[in-house]
Amino acid sequence: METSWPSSSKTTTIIGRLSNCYCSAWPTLQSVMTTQQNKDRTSTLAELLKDKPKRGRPPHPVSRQNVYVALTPEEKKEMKRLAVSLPANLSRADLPDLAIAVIAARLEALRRAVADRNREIPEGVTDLESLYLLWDLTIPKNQTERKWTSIRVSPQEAIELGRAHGTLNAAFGANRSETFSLALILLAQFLEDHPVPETATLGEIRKTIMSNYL
Amino acid sequence: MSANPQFGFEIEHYKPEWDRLGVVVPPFTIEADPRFMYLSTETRRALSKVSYMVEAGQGASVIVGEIGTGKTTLASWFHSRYHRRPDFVAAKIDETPKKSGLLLLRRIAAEFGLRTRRATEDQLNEFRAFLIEKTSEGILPLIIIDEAHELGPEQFVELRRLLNFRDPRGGKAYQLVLLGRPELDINLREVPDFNDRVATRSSLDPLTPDDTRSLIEYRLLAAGRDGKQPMLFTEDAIMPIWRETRGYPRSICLLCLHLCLELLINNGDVIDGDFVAKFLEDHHDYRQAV
Repeated sequence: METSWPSSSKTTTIIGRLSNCYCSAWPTLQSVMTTQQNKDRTSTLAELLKDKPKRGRPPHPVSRQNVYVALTPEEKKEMKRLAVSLPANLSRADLPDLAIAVIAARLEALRRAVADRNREIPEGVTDLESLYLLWDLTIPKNQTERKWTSIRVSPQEAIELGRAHGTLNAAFGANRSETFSLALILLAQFLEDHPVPETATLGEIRKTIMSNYL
Repeated sequence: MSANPQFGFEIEHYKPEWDRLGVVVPPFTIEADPRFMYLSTETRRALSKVSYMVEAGQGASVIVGEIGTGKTTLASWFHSRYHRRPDFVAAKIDETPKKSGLLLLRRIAAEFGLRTRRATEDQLNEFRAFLIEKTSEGILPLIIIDEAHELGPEQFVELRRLLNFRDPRGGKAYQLVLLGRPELDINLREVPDFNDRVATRSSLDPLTPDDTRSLIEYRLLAAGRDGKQPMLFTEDAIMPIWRETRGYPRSICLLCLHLCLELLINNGDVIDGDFVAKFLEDHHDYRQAV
């Protein structure tokens, strides 16, 4: 019986496909095996970090994104100081979210107050410093050098920071770092005026901020 | 015409060559000109707080300050800024009529272009109708009263009645800005009904030496002097000026005006500490010179 072989061109294609399949599968198989072996092995670093919280991360699961701002050493110190006054279940990493919640609420309150006028910012608030004066804040001295750093903010707060930055940039040409600096000072003022309970969560503090200013 | 013994020339005929100082207009006039208003920290605080209260429709705001701290300039600033806005109509009263509440209401009415009436109730009805008409168009009436320390108790009563008016549809009432000397605060304590309606109080304090320097630089720039030119007033000239004027803006402007005139007469280029000291020694009564 005569065996009918596929034409030479078809044969080449099938062999080629098979070889491709083997070649591409081989490293995957290898990596699966290696991962399995790695899993069985205990990492020294993992052992060391087992009972310690990861640095810069809150203990609760959040999906946050990096935002880059330039801060002065004084502002970094202030963040450290504020972190101490936070409830036990919140950490320094939660400060940017809270600061942005405060500035968003304050700007929204300002917007609502002049809602039936044709401006978002009152006529006499002529620059960013006037805003500090309006809200009874100490005007920071900008003599120290600012260094770029990343803050991690929740998605909603990232939008709020963008909105606040947009408003202040349109009105006074303020940049994102200046907006965040103002937010930090506003947060310090808020925490001073309204001490938060030791058991308060991030959501509860956000609610308090909203109910205070809006 | 005789020459002034202080300066040795006829002041009435003297035309200073301001362009020699690199300026287009006299930089140190003592008139309340909002174009030359230097915003010190205290002024900015007052501006931001009062304008917030005005735009948020909070009612009455009070600004107090000693003579020459810039109250009238601030009043002119508020009037010029708000009067040109389409959502405000502003009336500025520079000098209040003595004691009578009705006269005050009539003065305000005249500033708004309203009919003046002989009876207080009729005048108040005019104001009520004006408020309703304006708020229906989205326009907020603003009343600015300078020298408000001269207001009497009866006048405060009428102002309180004005503040009580509301648009029937829930709109905002008249907005009021009072500017006066520190006695205003004392007078307000005697009218608690009105005092309760004051939304914000600001005070204009004398300038610090740093602010004094900034005021002088700002005035020169506003008068057209190129910022790249060397300083007309050197660093060591600032403290003697501040000490002599105690930081009161009007006094600073008056002294700087005389220093500039002296410089032009002497064909000098720069006003330094020695120049100021010599001027004050020679012309200690310069305030009475012109």
